[in-house]
Amino acid sequence: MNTICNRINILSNASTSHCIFITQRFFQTSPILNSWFTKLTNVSQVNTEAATPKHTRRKNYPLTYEQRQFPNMIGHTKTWNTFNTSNLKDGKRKSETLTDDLFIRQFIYGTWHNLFASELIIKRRHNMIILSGLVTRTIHPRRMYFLIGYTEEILSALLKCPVKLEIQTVESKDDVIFTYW
Amino acid sequence: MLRLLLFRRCLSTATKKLVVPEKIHRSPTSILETLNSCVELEGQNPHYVYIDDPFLIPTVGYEKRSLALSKASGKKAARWIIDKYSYAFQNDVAQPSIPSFLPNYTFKETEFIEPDESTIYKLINWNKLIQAYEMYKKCRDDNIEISDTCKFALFDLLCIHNSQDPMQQLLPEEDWYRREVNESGVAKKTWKENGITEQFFEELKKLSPNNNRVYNSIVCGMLKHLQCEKALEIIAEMKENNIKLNIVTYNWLLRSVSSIKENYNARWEYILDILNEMKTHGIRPNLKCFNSILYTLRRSPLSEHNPTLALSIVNEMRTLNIKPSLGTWSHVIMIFYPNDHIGSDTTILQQIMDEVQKQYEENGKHLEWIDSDDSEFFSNAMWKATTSCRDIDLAKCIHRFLLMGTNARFMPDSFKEMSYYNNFFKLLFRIDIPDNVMPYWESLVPNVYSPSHQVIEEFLDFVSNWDLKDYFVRIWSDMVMLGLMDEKNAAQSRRLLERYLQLLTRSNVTDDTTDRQQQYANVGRTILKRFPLIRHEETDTDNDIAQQSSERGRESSRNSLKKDQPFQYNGNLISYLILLLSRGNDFDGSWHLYNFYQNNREFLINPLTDVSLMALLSLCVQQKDTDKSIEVIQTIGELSYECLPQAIGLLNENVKLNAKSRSNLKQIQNESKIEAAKDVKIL
Repeated sequence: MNTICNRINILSNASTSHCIFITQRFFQTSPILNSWFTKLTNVSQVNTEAATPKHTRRKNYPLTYEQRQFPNMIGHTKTWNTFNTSNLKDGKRKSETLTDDLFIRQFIYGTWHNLFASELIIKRRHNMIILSGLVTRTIHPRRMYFLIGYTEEILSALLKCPVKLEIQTVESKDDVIFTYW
Repeated sequence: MLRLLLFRRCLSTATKKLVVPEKIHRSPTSILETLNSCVELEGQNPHYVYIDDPFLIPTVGYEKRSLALSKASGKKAARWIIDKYSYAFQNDVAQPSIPSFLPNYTFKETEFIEPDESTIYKLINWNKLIQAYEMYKKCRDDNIEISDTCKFALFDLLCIHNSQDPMQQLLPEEDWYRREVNESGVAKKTWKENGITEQFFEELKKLSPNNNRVYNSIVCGMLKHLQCEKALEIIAEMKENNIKLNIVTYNWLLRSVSSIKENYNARWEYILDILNEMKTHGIRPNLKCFNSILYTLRRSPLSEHNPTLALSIVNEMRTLNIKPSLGTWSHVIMIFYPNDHIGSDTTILQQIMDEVQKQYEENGKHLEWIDSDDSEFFSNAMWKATTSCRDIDLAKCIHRFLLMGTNARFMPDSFKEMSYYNNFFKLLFRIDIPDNVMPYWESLVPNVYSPSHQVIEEFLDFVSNWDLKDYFVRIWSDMVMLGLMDEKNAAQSRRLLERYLQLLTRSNVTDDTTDRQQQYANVGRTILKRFPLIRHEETDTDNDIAQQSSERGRESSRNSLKKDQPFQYNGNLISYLILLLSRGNDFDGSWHLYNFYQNNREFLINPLTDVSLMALLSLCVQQKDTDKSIEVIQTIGELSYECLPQAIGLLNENVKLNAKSRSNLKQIQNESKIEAAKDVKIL
């Protein structure tokens, strides 16, 4: 833990693009928020809020609906990206749920490479985990079904509970652009 | 007064007694069962393995198959990873632990060094029968004590699985297509001669002579894998040593009578012998027993006594108070209708359906899957309702019963479902009226059932017989959606397209509204978009390239052979399309088609038809295009169609001709063989 803190301190001081790349690798859990968005929402800079981007100079950086609704809007115009009951009173497995979620996001980011056009939504119902999100139609449905079967089986073997994928498809990533920032 | 009221109130409370209801014992899954009973199968949505998204829902038959199987292969790939890196999947957080989420057990070498009974059991549990037998032999050599139960359990499994490791259970997606995944066709003798089972049998015979279980197991195994001669030898041996056969062995014996005896009468006598033997030993027959007898009767299809025998067997079941399963009825159906001609005069299928429905109601709206033959019921019933009974109400009754409750699970695989729906729709198209047929078509196609070329052709016949003009345009989109208009199987597509276009152009112009004609023309344009006109010179150059590449190497030639042949038009198709487009007043489109035909005349079979040429001509005349009109008339003249005089007349009346075109027309008149054409006066 100590070493990670150290690393973050070092990175917060550094400003070269190389180091930003490394921060991405550390904080990056979502498939769509790669590249520029991390720069816009980089907490390592002074006087910035988490996940609230600054305008780019030309105001031409595309944001999805979910990104445009900043964290203060959660519960008003957007909902949570993960649904579970562990943070209610007497909820169980608080930390485990969090780490599982992080792991699932990383796994989907790697397995469905460059396919998800939205954030992954993780819903936990009873003992079941339901993953949903928007996927682009860049690969053949056959491959998509292969990935669905693979993801479901391997995640359920890792997390020891049934995992289901309920995805929807969009033509391209441009379809989910809500605004330019 | 008040006192009295109070007193009464007290009295009433005193007499009321709280009765605590008795606790109803429920199973852990009873809530789920109750919830399940509330939902009903709608029977028109895509199967649940497919994701509910337009891009991911398949409509074509082979696509359904490939998508479901690719999901299964993804699961298999994951399973492989899980087994390969099993150390990463050991963290078990589930309470209680779920074995199917854990990797397969990998046996360590050390376990085999000093084997004992528990190792054998473990190997049996992980489906490694051959290894378990080797361990058993090792134990025997090392003089390690092994209990009889363990030995017998291993022996039973080896008998059932024919000296092989049992096949891994298929995933549900694969199971649905299992007929295509691993073929299970005609029954053949598969018993392994002198395999480890027989060695084990000899050994056990020495160790515990005259053991009931051992003898019965090996006979069952042999009969299951159709090694009948040896099984009969062992049965004779058992009779010598006074070893009794058990009910399971008798059942297998009854089931395999058809491969023991050739003659139909001999078969029946043999069955009677077996039954008498059972009676003397005091063994009471069960459902499987009767099903096996019926199975054997069904295997002797043309015996005259079969129906009466089958009925007497069913009666016997009633007297013994055994409820017949769906499998029993399936056999009875097949016995009564051995081929298309026999049995159509009986109403046995109707009676069976009534009986089954009664049984379903009595059983609390639920049918148990009791026998392995139960899966055949629905496809057999529908098959015979179509080919033998030809009774539409009966077929609908069967279909309604299939959709009731959880009955759909008696449809075991895609192949049976396909044949069921093929038969159902064939019957509907042949007999019923459109108002009844179309709702079925709308609800079942394409999510539940993707019809083949054959069924679509019957559908076309049906639509054309009833002249359902509202469906003419829709059929095109249906055919595209079902993947029948594909360049992959161009020959079938062409045949279907020709029939379809024939249907569209069949009616006269006056019958149809201009709206409709425009719609048909649109269909024609989409057809041209889907199968673009390709000049034959181009395809020839393609072939040349293919030849050159074949000289270069085998690989490339294989690739070029794999490349699909472009869709080839013929004269008939083109004339239909010209007719469609010219009726829709699309002069450019139809002229382009005509030009295409003229340029590729040598390559296209069948000439243009006179109707299409006349339609084109009338459009030319409308456009006042004299040159093109004369060209068309010339073609009519060359093909020496009877309509030449009308064609010349049409041009003559509507357009003022100049001297040159007049002389052209005269020349055509002179050259033509048709006398009537020469009589037309050119103004």
